[in-house]
Amino acid sequence: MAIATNPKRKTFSEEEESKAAAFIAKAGEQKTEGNRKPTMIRIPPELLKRIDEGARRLGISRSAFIVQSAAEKLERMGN
Amino acid sequence: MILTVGNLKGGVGKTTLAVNLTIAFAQAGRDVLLIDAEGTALGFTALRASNRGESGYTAVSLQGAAIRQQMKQLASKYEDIILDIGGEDASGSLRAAFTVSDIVLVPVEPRSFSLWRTEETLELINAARQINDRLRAIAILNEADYQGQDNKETLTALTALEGLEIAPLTIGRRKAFPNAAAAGLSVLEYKGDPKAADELQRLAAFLSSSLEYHSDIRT
Repeated sequence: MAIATNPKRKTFSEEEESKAAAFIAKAGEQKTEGNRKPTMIRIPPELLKRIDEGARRLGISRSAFIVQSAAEKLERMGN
Repeated sequence: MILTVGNLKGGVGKTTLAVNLTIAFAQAGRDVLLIDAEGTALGFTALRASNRGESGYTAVSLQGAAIRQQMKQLASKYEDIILDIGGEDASGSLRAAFTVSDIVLVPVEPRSFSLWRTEETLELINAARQINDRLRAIAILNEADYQGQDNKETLTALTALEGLEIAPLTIGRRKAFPNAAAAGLSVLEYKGDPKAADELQRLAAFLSSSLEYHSDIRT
């Protein structure tokens, strides 16, 4: 097998990191509401406040934040 | 090399290719890390280690934005990092992997649904190139049919997609892959099907050499 040399890794600027974070945070957002099922859940007010703050920091909706978090948890569980 | 095996479509053979390539690189003497976003490859690795005493590579579980964050530390510690990322664009794992990879290997079955989801995957890859302009996307026709026109038609359709390279080989729908996996082995170690082993070796060699030719873009 041909072997590739280990390429030099570049470091990223704060601006590049910010762009990457915004790109990653868009996961779970859909262009349309198709294939989405509205669900009512009960959340402790303090947690909801933290969710909204986290979503604000990522520049995404509360709904997208909750979807991403649930999807990540399921991945960690191997489901 | 940082290689993501990814496609938004599930069931196209991502984990199978990821673990087989990991073992192929490790057998070539490379220090390899396998990153698993959803647990299946870790399960395989545990079975392999249990059967053989050791797996021959390191495997960890990472999800979401942590994949990008951790890669800064991990990239210099391993010669090759292979990421097995499940379908769907819900958790951020696939996006994060695209922002740090040299190559995304996109397994495509010779089926219409697989082709359609590959087009959507390529849209996401193209968006990731705004962040990671070195990202190469290489489609591999996986679980190819033994006969009929579907392989050829799928490859023709893939050729029309901009920004997607096509691997110059295919991986057949061979029972050796699940049989080997059930024993914690790669097809290279499974004695029943030398053709499967040959296909995998050719894919590993192609991926290694294709990055070698383009490594100047990283410096």
